Amino acid sequence: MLYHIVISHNQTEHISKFPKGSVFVFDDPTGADALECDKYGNPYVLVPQTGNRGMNRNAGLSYVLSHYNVVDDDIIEFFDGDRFPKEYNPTKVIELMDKHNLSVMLYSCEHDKRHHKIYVPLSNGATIVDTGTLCNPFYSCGFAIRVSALKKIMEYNDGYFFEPRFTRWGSEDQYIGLVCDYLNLKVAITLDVMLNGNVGGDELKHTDYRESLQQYIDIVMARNLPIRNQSRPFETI
Amino acid sequence: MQNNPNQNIHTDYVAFDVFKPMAANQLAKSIHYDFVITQDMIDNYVAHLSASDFSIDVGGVIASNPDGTSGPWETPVVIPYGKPINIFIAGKVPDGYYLNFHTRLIGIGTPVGNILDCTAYSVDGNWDKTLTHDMVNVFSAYPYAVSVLVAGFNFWSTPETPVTINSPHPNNKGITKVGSYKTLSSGDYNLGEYEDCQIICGACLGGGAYSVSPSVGHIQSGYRPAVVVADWMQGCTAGSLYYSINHNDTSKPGLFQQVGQSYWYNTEPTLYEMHPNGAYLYRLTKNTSDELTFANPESGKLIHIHPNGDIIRQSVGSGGSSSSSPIIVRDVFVPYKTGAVEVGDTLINFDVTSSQYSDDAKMTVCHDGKFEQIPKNGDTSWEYECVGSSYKHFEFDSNNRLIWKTWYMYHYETSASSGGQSVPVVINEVNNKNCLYLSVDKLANGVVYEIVMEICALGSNARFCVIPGDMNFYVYFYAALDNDGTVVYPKRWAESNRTIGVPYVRPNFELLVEATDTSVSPPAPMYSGVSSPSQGKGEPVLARAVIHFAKINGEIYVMSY
Repeated sequence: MLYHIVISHNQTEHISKFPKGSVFVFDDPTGADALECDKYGNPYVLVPQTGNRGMNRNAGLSYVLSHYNVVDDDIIEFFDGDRFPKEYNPTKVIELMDKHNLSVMLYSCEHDKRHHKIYVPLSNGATIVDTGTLCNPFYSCGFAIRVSALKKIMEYNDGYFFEPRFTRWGSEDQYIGLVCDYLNLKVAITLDVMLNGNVGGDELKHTDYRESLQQYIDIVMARNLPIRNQSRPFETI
Repeated sequence: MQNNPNQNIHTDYVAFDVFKPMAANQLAKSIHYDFVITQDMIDNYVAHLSASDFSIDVGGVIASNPDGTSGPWETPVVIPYGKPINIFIAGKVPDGYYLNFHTRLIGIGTPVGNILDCTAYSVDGNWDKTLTHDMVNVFSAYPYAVSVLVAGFNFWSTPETPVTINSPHPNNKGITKVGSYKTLSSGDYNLGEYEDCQIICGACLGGGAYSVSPSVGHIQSGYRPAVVVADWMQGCTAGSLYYSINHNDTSKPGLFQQVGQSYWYNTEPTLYEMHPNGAYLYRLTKNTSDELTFANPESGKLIHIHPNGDIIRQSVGSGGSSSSSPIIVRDVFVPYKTGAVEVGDTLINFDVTSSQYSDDAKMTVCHDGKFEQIPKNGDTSWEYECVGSSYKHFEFDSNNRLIWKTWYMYHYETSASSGGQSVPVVINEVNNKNCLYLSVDKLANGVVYEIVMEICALGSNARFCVIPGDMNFYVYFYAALDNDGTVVYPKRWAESNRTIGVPYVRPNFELLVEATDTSVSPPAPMYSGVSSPSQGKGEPVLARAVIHFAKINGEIYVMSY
C-alpha cells in the first residue's frame, strides 16, 4: 500500500496535481485549501503557521498512522506542496523499493543540484547513495519511505520521525539522512519519479539557513551521531 | 537637531517652501539636517575671501564664526556607516563662486580640524577617494556650482536648482549622484577614458552635445559610462534602468548613447507608451550612428532619437491621447551595479597591472562592522596577513561571521585573452591569490562559522575554494597560531569520486545580478566560478559566495554545496 503526504503553505493551485487521496497538511491554511481538497476528496490537516516543515510532515504522518491500517511493508511518500510529480508511476515506486530492498527512495527534481553534488551519472531505476556525511543528498521535497524503516527512525528519535528542534529552513532532512546511515537503512535516488521545480542550490535565499545548520550541528553533537568524512562508493542498481 | 556651536544654531531646521514641487525635494522637506548653511553664513564667509578666491570651502563655512572668520572645530562629526548625513544650503551662492566640499569638510590638507569623520567609509585615512557609497547628501533651494567632484556626496537638485560640477575629474573617483546636472560645456560630459568615476543624474541640462564618455570602444570593453542619466534616487541597483520621456520632451541628452550602450550589451531597449486607450510597445528597428528608430508596427507610430538628444515623434500624438502620457524606455542596461550599494560592492574596474589603479584595488575583511584592509603581497595578491613566514589569523566577529570583500572590484587582463582579443575579466586566472588564514585552535567546537565573499565578479576559471591549489580565493586552516606549517584539511561531504587528499570545497553561490544571457547558471560542479557567457562584452557575473563550516571534535567540516 502506498500513502502520500503533502505539506503545503500558500500552494493551493497545486493540490490537484498530487496523487488522489494524498493527505495534505496546510501550514497557515486558507479557506481555498480546504475547498480544493474537498473537491478532489483529499483528507487534510490544518496547522497554525509554524514554518516547521518537519513537524508538519509529522502531523501528516500521525494522520496516516491513526486513520489507516498501516503495516510495516507499506510505503509512505512525502512531498512538498510545490514539488508535484511530473513523471510518476506508483507501481514503479513499489516495484523498485521491493526489488532492491530499499528503505528510502529519494525522488529527483527537474533542476536537481544533487546530481552535481553526488557527481555520479544517475540512471533510471535507482542509485544507492551514501547519507553518512554531514551534507548528504537526503532532501525531503519528495521521497518514499518504508514504514518499517520509518519506525526505526522514530524509535531512535524519541518517537518523532522528523526531529522537532529544526525550527528553521533546511537541514532537518539531512539529519534524517545521517540517521538512516547510522541505522543501516538503504537509501537510493531515482530518476523514475521526476518532481516539479528544483532542489538544492538556493540555500542562500533563506536567511535563516545558517541557524538551521547550527541546530543541525547541535543535535548531531548532542546525539553523538557518527559522521563519515568520505562517502562510500556509489552503487547503481 | 542640527548643532553648530560656532554659529549658535541649536535647533531643528525646517525647510518651508524653498523646494520646487518635485518628488525628490518633497522628500527633502521632511528630512533631518545635520548641518544648515544660511545665507548670512555664506555672505559673511565670502566677505573674507580675497578678491581672486572664488572657492567657498563648505567645511570652512560650517566652522566659521558668525562674523565669517575661521572658527575651530575640535571634534569631527562621525558619519556612521550606512547612515549618510544631510547638509542643507539655505542660501544662494554668489555668481561666479564654487562650493568646495573637499577641503575642510573632509579634512584634505587642512590642519585646523575637519568637520566630518568619514573613517567608517574608509580603510585608509579619513576619506576614501574612490568611495561609491552614499555618505553625504547635499540639499539646496538654489542652483550652485561644485568646484571638485567628491565621491560619496550626492547632490539633491531639480531642473530648477541644478548643480554644476566644474571640471569633474577622476582624481576623485567613485560615484556621485546628482538630481539635475547642468553642464557648462560638452566637455563636462567627457570625463575621459576613466572608468572609475561616474555621475548618475536625473537630468542633464545645458552644455553642448552629449558625448559618450569613455569612448564607445572603451565601453564596449566593459567600462562604465561616466555620466548616466537615470533615476538617481533609486540608483542603478538592478543594472537596468527606466527612462521617462514626458509628452512634451523634445530632447533627452544622453538617451541615444545609453540606449546604444544597452544594445551593445545585448539587451533589447523598448519604448512603452501608456495612455487611456491602451498601450503601445515600440521595438528598435533602426540603429545607426546618427539615429535610433523605435516602431510600433500595429499603429505605424515611430519615435526617432538622435545623438544630440533630439526626440522626433512620427504619427505619435495624433488620434488620441498618446501625447498626454509619458513614454517609458524599458530594459536599458547600464553596465555594472551602481547606486545604493554597500561598501565593497563597488563595481569599478581596475586594471591592477596598471600603476594608475593598483593602489586603489583593495581587499578587506570586516569585523563587527569595521573594515580592515588586507595587505597586498605583490601587484595582484592579497594575503591576510603574511609578514615574513608568519601568518596573521583572522578572528571571527561576535556573530561568528567573517566578511571578505573587495573594497573595489578590480580588473585583470589575463593571458587567457588569447588571440589578441582584449577580454576584461575580473578575478581570473591563478595568479590572483587572495588568502585568508584561520587558526583551528581559535575555533570553538560545534559552532557554525560563516565566511562570506562579497562580491565575487567571476570570469571563467575563477575559483574560490578551501585549501586548494591554483585558486583565486583560498581559505587556509592552520592547526596552530604560531603557524608550524600544519594545514588542517577540511572534510568533504559527499564526493567520493574525488581524488582523496585534495579537499576542494565549493561555496554556495548566489547570483546577484541577473545576467543578460539566460545560459548563465550557478557554478559548474567542477569548483570553478561562474563562467561568464557574456565575456567579450565585458560584463562579469556577480555573485556572493558563502562557506559554512564547523569544528567537530577537532575536525573541520565544510557545509557548502
